[in-house]
Amino acid sequence: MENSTISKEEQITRDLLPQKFGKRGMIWTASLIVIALIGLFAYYRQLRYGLVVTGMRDYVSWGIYISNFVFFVAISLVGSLITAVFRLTDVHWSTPLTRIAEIIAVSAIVFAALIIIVDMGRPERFMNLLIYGRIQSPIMWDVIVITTYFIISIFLLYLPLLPDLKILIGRKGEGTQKFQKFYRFLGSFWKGLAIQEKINNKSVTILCITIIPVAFSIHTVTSWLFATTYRPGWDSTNFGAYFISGAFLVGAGGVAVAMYVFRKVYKLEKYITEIHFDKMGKIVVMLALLYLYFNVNEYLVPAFKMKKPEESHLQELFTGEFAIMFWFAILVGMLLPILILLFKGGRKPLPMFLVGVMVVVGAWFKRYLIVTPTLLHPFLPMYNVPESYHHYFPSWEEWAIAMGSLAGCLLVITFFVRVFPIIPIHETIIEQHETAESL
Amino acid sequence: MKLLNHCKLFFVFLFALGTLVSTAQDAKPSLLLDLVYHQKDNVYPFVTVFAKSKVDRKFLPVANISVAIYLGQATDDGLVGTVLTDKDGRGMVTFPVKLQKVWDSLSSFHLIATTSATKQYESVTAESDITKTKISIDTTWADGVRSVVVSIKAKKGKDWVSAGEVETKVIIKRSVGNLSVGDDENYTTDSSGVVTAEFKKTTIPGDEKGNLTLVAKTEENEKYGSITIEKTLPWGVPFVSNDDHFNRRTLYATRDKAPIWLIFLAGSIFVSVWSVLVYLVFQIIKIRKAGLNS
Repeated sequence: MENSTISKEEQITRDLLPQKFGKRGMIWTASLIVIALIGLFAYYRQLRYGLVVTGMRDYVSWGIYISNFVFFVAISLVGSLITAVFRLTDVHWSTPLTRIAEIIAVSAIVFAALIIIVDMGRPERFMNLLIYGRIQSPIMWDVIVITTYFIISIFLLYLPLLPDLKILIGRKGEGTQKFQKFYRFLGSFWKGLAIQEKINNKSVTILCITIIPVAFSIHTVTSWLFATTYRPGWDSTNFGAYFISGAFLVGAGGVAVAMYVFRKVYKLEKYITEIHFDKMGKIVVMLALLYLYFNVNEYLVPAFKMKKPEESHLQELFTGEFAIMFWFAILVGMLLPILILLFKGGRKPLPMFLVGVMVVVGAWFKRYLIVTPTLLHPFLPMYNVPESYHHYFPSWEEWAIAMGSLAGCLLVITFFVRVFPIIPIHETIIEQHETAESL
Repeated sequence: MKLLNHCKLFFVFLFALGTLVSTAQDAKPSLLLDLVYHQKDNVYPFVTVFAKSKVDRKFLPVANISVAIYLGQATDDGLVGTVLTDKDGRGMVTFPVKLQKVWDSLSSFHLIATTSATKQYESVTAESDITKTKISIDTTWADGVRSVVVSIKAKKGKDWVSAGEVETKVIIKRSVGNLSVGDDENYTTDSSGVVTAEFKKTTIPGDEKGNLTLVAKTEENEKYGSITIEKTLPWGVPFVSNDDHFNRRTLYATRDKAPIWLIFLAGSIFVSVWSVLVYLVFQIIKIRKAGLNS
């Protein structure tokens, strides 16, 4: 019995250890690096020639960069959902997903911060925000809350990693050999002592409690960047809740995609099971319904009142220039996922992966629709301005930077998975023990 | 033969037309140059130039035109300075110290401004004859009426004589634009070179002490140029900073006027959250110590 337990632990460890990139992994990583480098080159051009290389002009001064920023902030919220909410409510099935959620959160929040600096055009002036910033400005709150959320997410990634570092240190496997120094630097002091376990568990619980209001703040404050201005489409008291519900949805969709990819690539079928997909599917459908509810609120109420500026904004969305994108975001990002996931067959791994992709892509376009159409509908009519001011389409530099940032975000996750186990080894072993004991 | 002559004539006409067209195309657009002499508060003077070109019946400023300005003759000795026009077509040069003695000794002088020829424009020259002047501003108060008295004197030989028939503006300097002191803004000096303007703006705000700045000036006068003098007087209503919306602590005020409740609220949230993070750093240190001690 003892021997079988040991071999089971060893099997879990072997299954979950980081692995070397295969051929597909190398192609994937190289592709991401190339896309990120193209983005860097585009950013170099933007720095050299100024924001004139973008499609942004006097009216649309927040374009694809800010859409991308809102998207990153949204997807980062998943860390708090999976890790904190589930841990505090004693939901154990989510254990294999916690690290996936946390690395998505960390990576997304890093690129959210970077894309804001890209949007500034003059990055050297960033310090002016700290030196001359007004505490009354939601932009200032956003800077503070993003920094705070990033630090908490790093802690939430690091503390549960400590027991796994002990397992990784001294492993002579192919995947971990060359990172031994790094592992020792991060966690050589972890001996698995009772006192260490106690402090660690307490710290993780404190982090889980802290991260929830901070995570809510980060997305509420981001929504206030829009809602505190008096503009058609943004002038809403509902924006905080609307943004948070959307963020939970895209985050859950992102986790569903990552679950499928990691399960397939690293052959983790034993750890990320169909039950996980089923449960995650139920969460996604609930979140999609919630987000749909807020969408109905956001569009129905102004449509009912039909104030002139709102009317022109809504017409552009429903039947005008942005109609295809709008209905795509609603159908593909919300309605179809709900329809698919209501059926048990829709919550199987492959349909869940497809739904996850639909949710994420739909969410990206939804952010674009929140930012751009409103800017093209100011209260004062656009008069005597060049024709290009009436429309906005991102330049190739903007596309390259936006895609480069998405590639960069995926690259961080890819490298993390190469170095660290994406499913917590120690926690999985403990849970296996607990399950065995309860049986 | 007659047909041949007609053909020759036709070709000569075509050639002449072609030459005319090509000459017309080669002709450079003309550059116009304005030269204005300035003197402020009777101290050392300066000169401004304005380069412009007529395009589609409009005068447009011409930038990056190098203009050399001379006193007396266009020689190195008389060079006041060289200036490059800015995007508004304007440039300014002050008189150098080397010309001070020359300028002091003169009662009238000749100014020359010459541009260098460029690929676009031919060289042009503007000239101006200026008589040296002195302007003074004074005030009188009689029967409860305040007046501003402006006196302009021109130099003739070694003497200063009254400059009559000079159009003069008497105004109150404001932050944006100017106000006339009385009903009119423009006055003309009498034979004794004096202008008297009744001060009627008795209720306009000044600075905290009620100070107003009165200005008397001639503008681009052909004979004397633009001469200006200012005088500060406590003739305004002292400005009292009233407790308006912009000076209150509000959400839309400047950074130093953030509402106290907001500073307290945001500050306490920030301190609370970051205290937790600092506490967690200490917890990690404790974990580390426990591990190392074991």
